[in-house]
Amino acid sequence: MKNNAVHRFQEARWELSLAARSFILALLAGIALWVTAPNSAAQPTNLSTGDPRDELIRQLLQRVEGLEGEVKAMKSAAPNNPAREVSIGSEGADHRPRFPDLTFHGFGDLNYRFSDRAGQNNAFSLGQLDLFTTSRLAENVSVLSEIVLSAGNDNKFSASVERLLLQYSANDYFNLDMGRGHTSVGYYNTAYHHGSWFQTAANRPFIFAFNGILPIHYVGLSANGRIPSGSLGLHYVTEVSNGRHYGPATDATTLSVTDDNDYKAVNAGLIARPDWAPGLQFGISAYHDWLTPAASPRIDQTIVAAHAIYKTSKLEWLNEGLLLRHEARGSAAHYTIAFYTQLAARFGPFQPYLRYEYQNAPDQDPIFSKFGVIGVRQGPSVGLRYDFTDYAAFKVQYDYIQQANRPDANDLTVQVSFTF
Amino acid sequence: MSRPITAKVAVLTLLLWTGAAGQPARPGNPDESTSTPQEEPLAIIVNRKNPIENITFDDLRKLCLAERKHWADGRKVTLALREPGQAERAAVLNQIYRMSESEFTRHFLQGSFTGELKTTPKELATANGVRRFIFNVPGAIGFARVSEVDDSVKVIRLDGHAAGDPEYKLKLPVP
Repeated sequence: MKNNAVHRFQEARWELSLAARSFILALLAGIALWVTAPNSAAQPTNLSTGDPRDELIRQLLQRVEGLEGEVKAMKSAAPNNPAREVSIGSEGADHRPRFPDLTFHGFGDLNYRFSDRAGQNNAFSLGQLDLFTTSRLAENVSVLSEIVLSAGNDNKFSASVERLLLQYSANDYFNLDMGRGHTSVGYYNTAYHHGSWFQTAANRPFIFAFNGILPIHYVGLSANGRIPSGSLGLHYVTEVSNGRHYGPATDATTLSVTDDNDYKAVNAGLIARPDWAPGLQFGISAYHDWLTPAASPRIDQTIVAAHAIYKTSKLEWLNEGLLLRHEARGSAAHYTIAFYTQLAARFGPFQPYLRYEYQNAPDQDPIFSKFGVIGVRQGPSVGLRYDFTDYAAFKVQYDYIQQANRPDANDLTVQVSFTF
Repeated sequence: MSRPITAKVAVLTLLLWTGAAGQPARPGNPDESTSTPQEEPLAIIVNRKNPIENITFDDLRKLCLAERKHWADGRKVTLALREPGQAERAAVLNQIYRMSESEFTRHFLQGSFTGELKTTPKELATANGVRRFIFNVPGAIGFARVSEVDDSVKVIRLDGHAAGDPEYKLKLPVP
């Protein structure tokens, strides 16, 4: 019994001791909170109780007041210049662009072609290795370059500067490109360049083929931008350039360094992307040049192109038509008509597509009669694109081609195209 | 021996009672206990110096697609998005771009390739990062949950509706 009583007494004393300690701790915490309360900062003199901690608190308060003053001075010194704005953190604070920056992308493709054309063997074919870089030199000035390495029918590789543009962007209404680029004749030539990965089909429509009937590249100036037009979404483009050289197949078609004559090719286009139909685009362009091929009178070349495009993530319907007029001095004008339509639908990674192309150049055309592209060339293509990753696609395409004065041809192309 | 056990039982009972009392009241509407998704407005935020107060959905889409690259005052538009895989980004891609992540990537890659686009959207990991970026860049525009917006940025209306209005279009599904 006595032991129990002693034990209970000890327990009670321990509990009392705990309660007392808790009470003292709570009291100290309350005092500390009261001392450091915001309103206490305004009355520092009330703390002069002789306690050495009061002096420490007073010094800290003075330090805080000093720092507040410094922050106010910095804020008042910072004008509206964004470069001097005060950052308020780490992520998102690294906002200032560094010039020049550099972005690189590569494109490539490998093909296997089956063909029943005379003189063509089935073969693997290494496509173009496209080295694409952009660099911003300043907020409104940038450089775009596209260098393509490819092998010709002689299996020898060569490098070509396909695009090299210095671009100045004043605002949405005026952008100026200087250098070598793709002419804004039609839609396909500006939407798709040398990287075949971007385009749905394995190859370009033959009316937009490189070294085909059109001036694909320009060397000169191009201005483009929006036109205030409300929901119609009008854009303009104008180009002044050296034009295209029509000559033997061994000649370069783009006049990168010299021109065949003093006259400059001009091109003007109007494009509408209406707000009320996202994905819809239609446009028209007119191109004019003087052509002066060897041993030939001057030829006026006029190309009118029109397109109607509907392109969303699920559906793609491309329609383009061309009218080419060639008039040799003192002769009658000759007209070439060309068009294609391409329809594709996407089902997940699969995208089947159909294309029909047509081109009809008159026998007497002063340009095309020299290159053997006269008469009707037409035919359908059917294919399937399979994007097996976000950056690589497998395509298989069948082309049936009817061409005047030549036997009909059947081509089957299997392609792997990619970007990196 | 019996007293400590009794004390332990009492303490345990007290803990259980207080724990139960701390639980939120059971909802009266049985639907609330299901996993029906709710929506939280996704605010459109710009730098405080940007004079814009309202934007139409069409204009917002053009800004996001980089079809329009400058504000009315001439400042260059810089888009700030969350990183791939985050709900805010998914909502923007789904409701404004109407694109998947790969289509979004391809859009800007092709825009760069054609020469039309000079920059790509800035990607940030947190709402705090988006706010800080917009605070620092006068022409920036981005998106954040209404609950994560503070005074460092400015919230603008969409088609005349403030975030939180029933007619406000841009919403973030909350599971």
